[in-house]
Amino acid sequence: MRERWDSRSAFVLAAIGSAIGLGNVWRFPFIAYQNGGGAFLIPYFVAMITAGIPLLILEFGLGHKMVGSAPFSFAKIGKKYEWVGWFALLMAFGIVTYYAVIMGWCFGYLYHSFTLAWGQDVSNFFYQDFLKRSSGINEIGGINVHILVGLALTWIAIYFCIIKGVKSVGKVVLITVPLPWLCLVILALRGITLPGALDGIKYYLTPNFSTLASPRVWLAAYSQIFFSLSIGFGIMIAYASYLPRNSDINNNAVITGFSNCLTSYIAGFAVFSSLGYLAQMTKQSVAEVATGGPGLAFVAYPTIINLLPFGAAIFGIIFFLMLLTLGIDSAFSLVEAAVAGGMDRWGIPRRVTNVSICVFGFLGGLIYTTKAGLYILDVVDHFLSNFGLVLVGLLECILIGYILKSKTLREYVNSISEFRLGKAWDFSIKILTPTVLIILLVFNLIERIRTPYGGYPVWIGWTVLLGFLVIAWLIVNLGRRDVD
Amino acid sequence: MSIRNFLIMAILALIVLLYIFAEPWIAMLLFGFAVLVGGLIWSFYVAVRVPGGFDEKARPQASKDSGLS
Repeated sequence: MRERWDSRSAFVLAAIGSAIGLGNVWRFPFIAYQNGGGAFLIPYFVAMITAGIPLLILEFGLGHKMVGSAPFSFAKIGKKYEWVGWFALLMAFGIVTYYAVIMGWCFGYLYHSFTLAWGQDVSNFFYQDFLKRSSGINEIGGINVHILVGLALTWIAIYFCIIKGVKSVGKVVLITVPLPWLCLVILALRGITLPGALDGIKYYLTPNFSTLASPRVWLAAYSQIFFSLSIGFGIMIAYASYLPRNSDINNNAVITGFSNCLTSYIAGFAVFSSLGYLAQMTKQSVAEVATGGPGLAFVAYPTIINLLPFGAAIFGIIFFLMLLTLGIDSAFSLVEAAVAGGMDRWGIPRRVTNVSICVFGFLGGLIYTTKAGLYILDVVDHFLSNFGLVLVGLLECILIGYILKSKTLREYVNSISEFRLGKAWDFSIKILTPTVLIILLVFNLIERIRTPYGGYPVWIGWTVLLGFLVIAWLIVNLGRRDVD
Repeated sequence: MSIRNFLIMAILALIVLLYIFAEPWIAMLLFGFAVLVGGLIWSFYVAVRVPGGFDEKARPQASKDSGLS
Protein backbone atom coordinates (compact mmCIF):
# COMPACT_ATOMS: atom_id res chain seq x y z
CA MET A 1 0.00 0.00 0.00
CA ARG A 2 1.54 3.30 -1.12
CA GLU A 3 1.89 6.10 1.43
CA ARG A 4 -0.61 8.96 1.18
CA TRP A 5 -0.49 12.64 2.14
CA ASP A 6 -2.60 13.42 5.20
CA SER A 7 -4.30 16.32 3.45
CA ARG A 8 -4.14 18.50 0.38
CA SER A 9 -2.55 21.27 2.48
CA ALA A 10 0.29 18.92 3.42
CA PHE A 11 1.02 18.19 -0.24
CA VAL A 12 0.77 21.83 -1.33
CA LEU A 13 3.00 23.00 1.52
CA ALA A 14 5.54 20.26 0.78
CA ALA A 15 5.62 21.22 -2.92
CA ILE A 16 5.97 24.91 -2.03
CA GLY A 17 8.65 24.07 0.53
CA SER A 18 10.57 22.12 -2.06
CA ALA A 19 10.33 24.91 -4.64
CA ILE A 20 11.27 27.67 -2.22
CA GLY A 21 14.91 27.50 -1.26
CA LEU A 22 18.05 29.52 -0.82
CA GLY A 23 17.91 30.65 -4.46
CA ASN A 24 14.72 32.61 -3.80
CA VAL A 25 16.66 34.83 -1.41
CA TRP A 26 20.09 35.02 -2.92
CA ARG A 27 19.47 34.48 -6.64
CA PHE A 28 16.18 36.04 -7.76
CA PRO A 29 16.67 39.60 -6.41
CA PHE A 30 20.12 39.84 -7.95
CA ILE A 31 19.01 38.38 -11.31
CA ALA A 32 16.08 40.82 -11.39
CA TYR A 33 18.34 43.75 -10.63
CA GLN A 34 20.84 42.68 -13.33
CA ASN A 35 18.16 42.18 -15.98
CA GLY A 36 16.12 45.35 -16.08
CA GLY A 37 14.90 45.77 -12.47
CA GLY A 38 11.12 46.08 -12.37
CA ALA A 39 10.92 45.40 -16.11
CA PHE A 40 12.29 41.90 -15.42
CA LEU A 41 8.97 41.07 -13.75
CA ILE A 42 7.33 40.95 -17.19
CA PRO A 43 9.49 38.15 -18.70
CA TYR A 44 9.57 36.48 -15.29
CA PHE A 45 5.78 36.26 -15.06
CA VAL A 46 5.53 35.22 -18.72
CA ALA A 47 8.06 32.45 -18.04
CA MET A 48 6.16 31.36 -14.93
CA ILE A 49 2.86 31.07 -16.80
CA THR A 50 4.15 29.65 -20.09
CA ALA A 51 6.84 27.25 -18.81
CA GLY A 52 7.07 27.04 -15.00
CA ILE A 53 3.49 26.10 -14.19
CA PRO A 54 3.09 23.86 -17.30
CA LEU A 55 6.21 21.92 -16.24
CA LEU A 56 4.91 21.62 -12.68
CA ILE A 57 1.63 20.26 -14.08
CA LEU A 58 3.64 17.83 -16.20
CA GLU A 59 5.55 16.47 -13.19
CA PHE A 60 2.52 16.41 -10.88
CA GLY A 61 0.40 14.77 -13.59
CA LEU A 62 3.02 12.16 -14.47
CA GLY A 63 3.61 11.14 -10.84
CA HIS A 64 -0.11 11.00 -10.13
CA LYS A 65 -0.96 9.03 -13.27
CA MET A 66 1.88 6.51 -12.96
CA VAL A 67 1.79 6.32 -9.13
CA GLY A 68 5.53 6.05 -8.88
CA SER A 69 8.87 7.80 -8.54
CA ALA A 70 10.58 9.36 -11.58
CA PRO A 71 12.34 6.20 -12.87
CA PHE A 72 9.20 4.11 -12.32
CA SER A 73 7.05 6.70 -14.12
CA PHE A 74 9.39 6.99 -17.10
CA ALA A 75 9.69 3.20 -17.27
CA LYS A 76 5.91 3.06 -17.61
CA ILE A 77 6.15 5.27 -20.69
CA GLY A 78 8.74 2.86 -22.08
CA LYS A 79 11.33 0.71 -20.34
CA LYS A 80 14.11 2.23 -22.40
CA TYR A 81 13.35 5.65 -20.86
CA GLU A 82 13.81 4.58 -17.24
CA TRP A 83 17.36 5.92 -17.23
CA VAL A 84 15.99 9.48 -17.60
CA GLY A 85 14.32 9.09 -14.20
CA TRP A 86 17.48 7.73 -12.64
CA PHE A 87 19.51 10.53 -14.17
CA ALA A 88 17.08 13.03 -12.60
CA LEU A 89 17.38 11.33 -9.20
CA LEU A 90 21.17 11.25 -9.42
CA MET A 91 21.10 14.98 -10.15
CA ALA A 92 18.94 15.44 -7.06
CA PHE A 93 21.34 13.34 -5.01
CA GLY A 94 24.38 15.14 -6.41
CA ILE A 95 22.88 18.52 -5.61
CA VAL A 96 21.78 17.60 -2.08
CA THR A 97 25.32 16.50 -1.21
CA TYR A 98 26.56 20.10 -1.50
CA TYR A 99 23.24 21.78 -0.61
CA ALA A 100 23.55 20.06 2.78
CA VAL A 101 27.03 21.55 3.17
CA ILE A 102 25.67 25.07 2.54
CA MET A 103 23.07 24.35 5.20
CA GLY A 104 25.94 23.24 7.41
CA TRP A 105 27.44 26.71 6.89
CA CYS A 106 24.08 28.17 7.94
CA PHE A 107 24.18 26.10 11.13
CA GLY A 108 27.65 27.51 11.78
CA TYR A 109 26.55 31.08 11.11
CA LEU A 110 23.43 30.63 13.25
CA TYR A 111 25.74 29.72 16.11
CA HIS A 112 28.07 32.65 15.36
CA SER A 113 25.09 35.04 15.21
CA PHE A 114 24.72 34.91 19.00
CA THR A 115 28.09 36.64 19.44
CA LEU A 116 28.43 38.25 15.99
CA ALA A 117 31.65 36.28 15.78
CA TRP A 118 32.38 37.40 12.22
CA GLY A 119 33.63 40.74 13.56
CA GLN A 120 34.29 43.74 11.33
CA ASP A 121 36.20 42.01 8.53
CA VAL A 122 33.29 39.79 7.48
CA SER A 123 34.76 38.69 4.15
CA ASN A 124 37.99 37.56 5.77
CA PHE A 125 36.03 35.70 8.45
CA PHE A 126 33.98 33.77 5.88
CA TYR A 127 36.71 32.82 3.44
CA GLN A 128 39.72 32.48 5.75
CA ASP A 129 38.48 31.73 9.27
CA PHE A 130 35.28 29.82 8.50
CA LEU A 131 35.95 28.07 5.16
CA LYS A 132 39.75 28.19 5.56
CA ARG A 133 39.77 28.41 1.77
CA SER A 134 42.85 27.00 0.08
CA SER A 135 44.74 28.75 -2.71
CA GLY A 136 42.98 26.78 -5.46
CA ILE A 137 40.96 23.73 -6.42
CA ASN A 138 44.10 21.59 -6.68
CA GLU A 139 44.98 22.14 -3.03
CA ILE A 140 42.30 20.11 -1.27
CA GLY A 141 43.63 20.59 2.28
CA GLY A 142 42.02 18.84 5.22
CA ILE A 143 38.43 18.64 6.36
CA ASN A 144 37.06 21.61 8.34
CA VAL A 145 35.72 19.97 11.48
CA HIS A 146 33.20 22.72 12.27
CA ILE A 147 31.70 22.40 8.76
CA LEU A 148 31.67 18.63 9.16
CA VAL A 149 29.63 19.07 12.35
CA GLY A 150 27.20 21.35 10.47
CA LEU A 151 26.93 18.78 7.69
CA ALA A 152 26.21 16.00 10.19
CA LEU A 153 23.51 18.12 11.87
CA THR A 154 21.92 18.78 8.47
CA TRP A 155 21.78 15.10 7.57
CA ILE A 156 20.40 14.18 10.99
CA ALA A 157 17.67 16.82 10.45
CA ILE A 158 16.94 15.48 6.95
CA TYR A 159 16.75 11.92 8.26
CA PHE A 160 14.20 12.83 10.92
CA CYS A 161 12.14 14.90 8.48
CA ILE A 162 11.66 11.95 6.12
CA ILE A 163 11.68 9.22 8.77
CA LYS A 164 8.07 8.25 8.11
CA GLY A 165 7.91 9.44 4.53
CA VAL A 166 5.11 11.77 3.57
CA LYS A 167 3.49 11.33 6.99
CA SER A 168 6.40 13.04 8.73
CA VAL A 169 7.10 15.41 5.81
CA GLY A 170 3.47 16.58 5.96
CA LYS A 171 3.94 17.53 9.63
CA VAL A 172 7.40 19.10 9.25
CA VAL A 173 6.29 21.43 6.46
CA LEU A 174 3.64 22.91 8.74
CA ILE A 175 6.61 24.59 10.46
CA THR A 176 9.33 24.82 7.82
CA VAL A 177 7.18 26.60 5.23
CA PRO A 178 5.43 29.31 7.32
CA LEU A 179 8.47 29.97 9.55
CA PRO A 180 10.80 31.28 6.81
CA TRP A 181 7.91 33.36 5.44
CA LEU A 182 7.51 34.91 8.88
CA CYS A 183 11.26 35.54 9.11
CA LEU A 184 11.27 37.01 5.61
CA VAL A 185 8.43 39.39 6.43
CA ILE A 186 10.19 40.46 9.65
CA LEU A 187 13.43 41.08 7.76
CA ALA A 188 11.62 42.93 4.95
CA LEU A 189 9.81 45.14 7.47
CA ARG A 190 13.03 45.79 9.37
CA GLY A 191 14.83 46.46 6.09
CA ILE A 192 12.42 49.04 4.75
CA THR A 193 12.54 51.02 8.00
CA LEU A 194 16.32 51.46 7.74
CA PRO A 195 17.83 54.67 6.35
CA GLY A 196 18.76 54.29 2.67
CA ALA A 197 16.33 51.39 2.21
CA LEU A 198 14.32 53.28 -0.38
CA ASP A 199 17.40 53.71 -2.57
CA GLY A 200 17.91 49.97 -2.50
CA ILE A 201 14.30 49.22 -3.39
CA LYS A 202 14.46 51.76 -6.22
CA TYR A 203 17.49 49.90 -7.58
CA TYR A 204 15.56 46.66 -7.35
CA LEU A 205 12.36 47.85 -9.01
CA THR A 206 13.11 50.81 -11.30
CA PRO A 207 12.24 49.40 -14.73
CA ASN A 208 14.53 49.55 -17.70
CA PHE A 209 12.16 48.49 -20.47
CA SER A 210 14.85 48.60 -23.17
CA THR A 211 16.22 45.35 -21.69
CA LEU A 212 13.07 43.52 -22.80
CA ALA A 213 14.41 43.59 -26.36
CA SER A 214 17.39 41.50 -25.26
CA PRO A 215 17.03 37.70 -25.65
CA ARG A 216 19.47 37.29 -22.74
CA VAL A 217 16.93 38.84 -20.36
CA TRP A 218 14.20 36.44 -21.48
CA LEU A 219 16.61 33.55 -21.19
CA ALA A 220 17.51 34.69 -17.67
CA ALA A 221 13.80 34.79 -16.76
CA TYR A 222 13.12 31.29 -18.11
CA SER A 223 16.21 29.84 -16.45
CA GLN A 224 15.37 31.52 -13.12
CA ILE A 225 11.87 30.01 -13.25
CA PHE A 226 13.22 26.62 -14.28
CA PHE A 227 15.85 26.47 -11.52
CA SER A 228 13.62 27.80 -8.76
CA LEU A 229 10.64 25.44 -9.08
CA SER A 230 12.46 22.18 -8.25
CA ILE A 231 11.70 20.86 -11.73
CA GLY A 232 13.86 18.14 -13.26
CA PHE A 233 14.82 16.36 -10.03
CA GLY A 234 11.90 13.95 -9.93
CA ILE A 235 10.77 15.55 -6.63
CA MET A 236 7.37 16.70 -7.85
CA ILE A 237 6.81 13.34 -9.59
CA ALA A 238 7.47 11.48 -6.33
CA TYR A 239 5.40 13.90 -4.22
CA ALA A 240 2.41 13.69 -6.60
CA SER A 241 2.59 9.90 -6.59
CA TYR A 242 1.51 10.00 -2.93
CA LEU A 243 -1.68 11.96 -3.72
CA PRO A 244 -5.09 10.30 -3.46
CA ARG A 245 -6.73 9.43 -6.78
CA ASN A 246 -9.27 12.28 -6.75
CA SER A 247 -6.68 14.99 -6.16
CA ASP A 248 -6.46 18.18 -8.14
CA ILE A 249 -3.32 18.63 -10.22
CA ASN A 250 -3.60 21.87 -12.21
CA ASN A 251 -4.60 24.20 -9.42
CA ASN A 252 -2.00 22.77 -7.02
CA ALA A 253 0.63 23.60 -9.63
CA VAL A 254 -0.68 27.17 -9.90
CA ILE A 255 -0.63 27.62 -6.10
CA THR A 256 2.92 26.23 -5.92
CA GLY A 257 4.19 28.38 -8.79
CA PHE A 258 2.66 31.64 -7.55
CA SER A 259 3.74 31.04 -3.93
CA ASN A 260 7.30 30.43 -5.05
CA CYS A 261 7.41 33.61 -7.13
CA LEU A 262 5.76 35.70 -4.40
CA THR A 263 8.42 34.53 -1.95
CA SER A 264 11.18 35.53 -4.36
CA TYR A 265 9.56 38.89 -4.93
CA ILE A 266 9.25 39.65 -1.19
CA ALA A 267 12.80 38.41 -0.61
CA GLY A 268 13.89 41.14 -3.03
CA PHE A 269 12.54 43.77 -0.62
CA ALA A 270 14.36 42.24 2.35
CA VAL A 271 17.61 42.03 0.40
CA PHE A 272 17.60 45.35 -1.45
CA SER A 273 16.33 47.45 1.42
CA SER A 274 19.23 46.09 3.49
CA LEU A 275 21.69 46.65 0.64
CA GLY A 276 20.44 50.24 0.38
CA TYR A 277 21.20 50.65 4.07
CA LEU A 278 24.64 49.09 3.61
CA ALA A 279 25.35 51.44 0.68
CA GLN A 280 24.42 54.50 2.73
CA MET A 281 26.40 53.44 5.79
CA THR A 282 29.52 52.64 3.76
CA LYS A 283 29.07 55.65 1.47
CA GLN A 284 28.99 53.54 -1.69
CA SER A 285 26.38 53.15 -4.42
CA VAL A 286 23.89 50.28 -4.25
CA ALA A 287 25.45 48.89 -7.45
CA GLU A 288 28.77 48.58 -5.64
CA VAL A 289 27.38 46.59 -2.72
CA ALA A 290 24.79 44.55 -4.65
CA THR A 291 25.73 40.90 -4.74
CA GLY A 292 24.07 37.50 -4.96
CA GLY A 293 24.86 33.92 -3.97
CA PRO A 294 26.84 32.94 -0.87
CA GLY A 295 28.52 36.36 -0.96
CA LEU A 296 25.15 37.92 -0.09
CA ALA A 297 24.27 35.49 2.69
CA PHE A 298 27.63 35.11 4.37
CA VAL A 299 29.38 38.41 3.67
CA ALA A 300 26.98 41.22 2.74
CA TYR A 301 24.20 40.30 5.16
CA PRO A 302 26.45 39.80 8.22
CA THR A 303 28.01 43.20 7.38
CA ILE A 304 24.51 44.72 7.37
CA ILE A 305 23.75 42.98 10.69
CA ASN A 306 26.90 44.55 12.17
CA LEU A 307 25.64 48.00 11.19
CA LEU A 308 22.16 47.63 12.67
CA PRO A 309 21.49 50.20 15.40
CA PHE A 310 19.98 47.63 17.78
CA GLY A 311 19.11 43.91 18.02
CA ALA A 312 21.91 42.90 15.65
CA ALA A 313 22.24 39.39 17.11
CA ILE A 314 18.48 38.84 16.97
CA PHE A 315 18.30 39.76 13.29
CA GLY A 316 21.34 37.58 12.61
CA ILE A 317 19.58 34.65 14.24
CA ILE A 318 16.36 35.36 12.31
CA PHE A 319 18.26 35.57 9.01
CA PHE A 320 20.17 32.31 9.38
CA LEU A 321 17.16 30.54 10.86
CA MET A 322 15.27 31.66 7.75
CA LEU A 323 17.99 30.25 5.46
CA LEU A 324 18.00 26.98 7.39
CA THR A 325 14.25 26.52 7.27
CA LEU A 326 14.13 27.62 3.64
CA GLY A 327 16.78 25.07 2.79
CA ILE A 328 15.70 22.10 4.85
CA ASP A 329 12.50 21.32 2.95
CA SER A 330 14.28 21.65 -0.40
CA ALA A 331 17.00 19.33 0.92
CA PHE A 332 14.71 16.63 2.24
CA SER A 333 12.55 16.77 -0.88
CA LEU A 334 15.67 16.01 -2.94
CA VAL A 335 16.38 13.06 -0.64
CA GLU A 336 12.75 11.90 -0.65
CA ALA A 337 12.79 11.78 -4.47
CA ALA A 338 15.80 9.45 -4.31
CA VAL A 339 14.28 7.38 -1.49
CA ALA A 340 11.06 6.90 -3.48
CA GLY A 341 13.14 5.76 -6.46
CA GLY A 342 15.04 3.22 -4.34
CA MET A 343 11.87 1.88 -2.75
CA ASP A 344 10.07 1.53 -6.09
CA ARG A 345 13.08 -0.04 -7.79
CA TRP A 346 14.25 -2.61 -5.29
CA GLY A 347 11.31 -2.78 -2.89
CA ILE A 348 13.60 -1.98 0.05
CA PRO A 349 11.81 -0.87 3.25
CA ARG A 350 11.72 2.89 3.84
CA ARG A 351 13.83 2.75 7.00
CA VAL A 352 16.72 1.02 5.23
CA THR A 353 16.48 3.30 2.16
CA ASN A 354 16.39 6.42 4.35
CA VAL A 355 19.47 5.42 6.34
CA SER A 356 21.40 4.32 3.23
CA ILE A 357 20.75 7.50 1.27
CA CYS A 358 21.43 9.79 4.24
CA VAL A 359 24.73 8.01 4.97
CA PHE A 360 25.79 8.10 1.31
CA GLY A 361 24.71 11.74 1.09
CA PHE A 362 26.78 12.61 4.14
CA LEU A 363 29.81 10.78 2.75
CA GLY A 364 29.32 12.44 -0.64
CA GLY A 365 29.33 15.84 1.03
CA LEU A 366 32.69 15.31 2.77
CA ILE A 367 34.63 16.63 -0.23
CA TYR A 368 32.84 19.99 0.14
CA THR A 369 33.91 20.32 3.78
CA THR A 370 37.55 20.47 2.73
CA LYS A 371 39.49 23.68 2.29
CA ALA A 372 38.89 23.48 -1.48
CA GLY A 373 35.22 22.69 -0.88
CA LEU A 374 33.96 26.06 -2.10
CA TYR A 375 35.75 25.70 -5.45
CA ILE A 376 34.49 22.15 -5.98
CA LEU A 377 30.96 23.14 -4.96
CA ASP A 378 31.02 26.02 -7.40
CA VAL A 379 32.08 23.97 -10.40
CA VAL A 380 29.84 20.94 -9.65
CA ASP A 381 26.83 23.21 -9.09
CA HIS A 382 27.48 24.98 -12.37
CA PHE A 383 27.59 21.79 -14.41
CA LEU A 384 24.72 19.99 -12.69
CA SER A 385 22.41 23.01 -12.92
CA ASN A 386 23.30 24.36 -16.33
CA PHE A 387 23.68 21.09 -18.18
CA GLY A 388 22.28 18.17 -16.19
CA LEU A 389 19.09 19.80 -15.00
CA VAL A 390 18.35 21.47 -18.32
CA LEU A 391 18.92 18.16 -20.10
CA VAL A 392 16.47 16.36 -17.79
CA GLY A 393 13.86 19.09 -18.33
CA LEU A 394 14.29 18.81 -22.08
CA LEU A 395 14.00 15.01 -22.04
CA GLU A 396 10.88 15.25 -19.88
CA CYS A 397 9.24 17.56 -22.40
CA ILE A 398 10.17 15.31 -25.33
CA LEU A 399 9.03 12.11 -23.61
CA ILE A 400 5.73 13.52 -22.42
CA GLY A 401 5.12 15.70 -25.45
CA TYR A 402 5.91 13.20 -28.19
CA ILE A 403 6.15 9.67 -26.77
CA LEU A 404 3.38 9.58 -24.14
CA LYS A 405 1.62 12.40 -26.04
CA SER A 406 0.89 15.57 -24.16
CA LYS A 407 -2.81 15.27 -25.04
CA THR A 408 -3.03 12.00 -23.05
CA LEU A 409 -1.62 13.60 -19.92
CA ARG A 410 -3.65 16.78 -20.44
CA GLU A 411 -6.90 14.83 -20.63
CA TYR A 412 -5.89 12.88 -17.53
CA VAL A 413 -5.14 15.95 -15.40
CA ASN A 414 -8.23 17.73 -16.73
CA SER A 415 -10.40 14.82 -15.59
CA ILE A 416 -9.41 15.34 -11.95
CA SER A 417 -8.56 19.05 -11.73
CA GLU A 418 -10.46 22.12 -10.66
CA PHE A 419 -9.88 23.89 -13.96
CA ARG A 420 -9.12 22.56 -17.41
CA LEU A 421 -6.03 23.04 -19.54
CA GLY A 422 -6.35 23.95 -23.19
CA LYS A 423 -4.15 23.10 -26.14
CA ALA A 424 -1.80 25.92 -25.13
CA TRP A 425 -0.37 23.51 -22.54
CA ASP A 426 0.53 21.06 -25.32
CA PHE A 427 2.24 23.91 -27.17
CA SER A 428 4.24 24.79 -24.07
CA ILE A 429 5.37 21.20 -23.46
CA LYS A 430 6.01 20.28 -27.10
CA ILE A 431 7.39 23.50 -28.59
CA LEU A 432 7.98 26.48 -26.31
CA THR A 433 9.72 24.96 -23.28
CA PRO A 434 11.93 22.53 -25.27
CA THR A 435 12.98 25.41 -27.55
CA VAL A 436 13.96 27.57 -24.60
CA LEU A 437 15.80 24.68 -22.95
CA ILE A 438 17.68 23.81 -26.16
CA ILE A 439 18.75 27.45 -26.52
CA LEU A 440 19.87 27.46 -22.88
CA LEU A 441 21.82 24.23 -23.37
CA VAL A 442 23.52 25.38 -26.58
CA PHE A 443 24.22 28.82 -25.13
CA ASN A 444 25.83 27.32 -22.02
CA LEU A 445 27.78 24.80 -24.08
CA ILE A 446 29.24 27.46 -26.37
CA GLU A 447 30.19 29.57 -23.37
CA ARG A 448 31.94 26.63 -21.71
CA ILE A 449 33.82 25.69 -24.88
CA ARG A 450 35.03 29.27 -25.20
CA THR A 451 36.11 29.69 -21.58
CA PRO A 452 36.49 27.12 -18.80
CA TYR A 453 34.09 27.93 -15.96
CA GLY A 454 35.80 30.19 -13.40
CA GLY A 455 39.18 29.06 -14.68
CA TYR A 456 38.64 25.60 -13.13
CA PRO A 457 39.82 22.44 -14.93
CA VAL A 458 36.99 21.50 -17.30
CA TRP A 459 37.16 17.76 -16.64
CA ILE A 460 35.63 18.00 -13.14
CA GLY A 461 32.13 19.06 -14.18
CA TRP A 462 31.96 16.86 -17.27
CA THR A 463 33.21 13.84 -15.29
CA VAL A 464 30.45 14.27 -12.70
CA LEU A 465 27.80 14.58 -15.42
CA LEU A 466 29.06 11.61 -17.44
CA GLY A 467 29.49 9.63 -14.23
CA PHE A 468 25.81 10.16 -13.39
CA LEU A 469 24.79 9.07 -16.89
CA VAL A 470 26.86 5.88 -16.56
CA ILE A 471 25.43 5.15 -13.08
CA ALA A 472 21.88 5.70 -14.40
CA TRP A 473 22.58 3.20 -17.19
CA LEU A 474 24.07 0.72 -14.72
CA ILE A 475 21.07 0.93 -12.36
CA VAL A 476 18.68 0.27 -15.23
CA ASN A 477 20.70 -2.73 -16.35
CA LEU A 478 21.15 -4.27 -12.89
CA GLY A 479 18.41 -6.59 -11.58
CA ARG A 480 15.06 -4.82 -11.98
CA ARG A 481 11.73 -4.86 -10.24
CA ASP A 482 9.10 -5.10 -12.97
CA VAL A 483 6.97 -2.03 -13.47
CA ASP A 484 4.26 -3.71 -15.48
CA MET B 1 -18.83 44.04 -16.02
CA SER B 2 -18.13 41.54 -13.22
CA ILE B 3 -16.49 42.65 -9.99
CA ARG B 4 -13.39 40.65 -10.90
CA ASN B 5 -13.00 42.36 -14.28
CA PHE B 6 -13.68 45.75 -12.72
CA LEU B 7 -10.94 45.18 -10.12
CA ILE B 8 -8.46 44.08 -12.78
CA MET B 9 -9.19 47.17 -14.90
CA ALA B 10 -8.96 49.46 -11.85
CA ILE B 11 -5.58 48.04 -10.81
CA LEU B 12 -4.26 48.29 -14.37
CA ALA B 13 -5.37 51.90 -14.56
CA LEU B 14 -3.74 52.63 -11.21
CA ILE B 15 -0.47 51.07 -12.38
CA VAL B 16 -0.47 53.23 -15.53
CA LEU B 17 -1.29 56.36 -13.53
CA LEU B 18 1.44 55.63 -11.01
CA TYR B 19 3.89 55.04 -13.83
CA ILE B 20 3.06 58.37 -15.48
CA PHE B 21 2.45 60.65 -12.52
CA ALA B 22 4.39 59.07 -9.65
CA GLU B 23 7.54 56.99 -10.05
CA PRO B 24 7.94 53.95 -12.32
CA TRP B 25 9.30 51.77 -9.51
CA ILE B 26 6.11 52.32 -7.48
CA ALA B 27 4.05 51.19 -10.47
CA MET B 28 6.22 48.06 -10.81
CA LEU B 29 5.89 47.39 -7.08
CA LEU B 30 2.11 47.38 -7.43
CA PHE B 31 2.31 45.36 -10.65
CA GLY B 32 4.34 42.62 -8.95
CA PHE B 33 2.02 42.30 -5.98
CA ALA B 34 -1.11 42.55 -8.16
CA VAL B 35 -0.05 39.65 -10.39
CA LEU B 36 1.26 37.39 -7.64
CA VAL B 37 -1.33 38.01 -4.94
CA GLY B 38 -4.09 38.17 -7.56
CA GLY B 39 -2.99 34.81 -8.99
CA LEU B 40 -2.99 33.20 -5.56
CA ILE B 41 -6.40 34.61 -4.65
CA TRP B 42 -7.80 33.30 -7.94
CA SER B 43 -6.35 29.81 -7.41
CA PHE B 44 -7.70 29.55 -3.86
CA TYR B 45 -11.09 30.85 -5.05
CA VAL B 46 -11.17 28.10 -7.69
CA ALA B 47 -10.24 25.53 -5.04
CA VAL B 48 -12.82 26.47 -2.43
CA ARG B 49 -15.78 26.79 -4.79
CA VAL B 50 -15.67 23.02 -5.49
CA PRO B 51 -18.17 21.10 -3.32
CA GLY B 52 -16.34 20.05 -0.16
CA GLY B 53 -13.95 23.00 -0.27
CA PHE B 54 -10.15 23.03 -0.37
CA ASP B 55 -9.49 19.70 1.31
CA GLU B 56 -10.16 16.88 -1.11
CA LYS B 57 -10.92 14.45 1.69
CA ALA B 58 -14.21 16.26 2.25
CA ARG B 59 -15.13 15.93 -1.41
CA PRO B 60 -17.09 13.22 -3.16
CA GLN B 61 -14.99 10.75 -5.17
CA ALA B 62 -13.96 12.03 -8.60
CA SER B 63 -16.71 11.15 -11.02
CA LYS B 64 -19.05 12.90 -13.38
CA ASP B 65 -21.20 14.18 -10.54
CA SER B 66 -18.33 15.13 -8.23
CA GLY B 67 -18.33 18.79 -9.04
CA LEU B 68 -14.80 18.50 -10.42
CA SER B 69 -14.31 19.51 -14.02
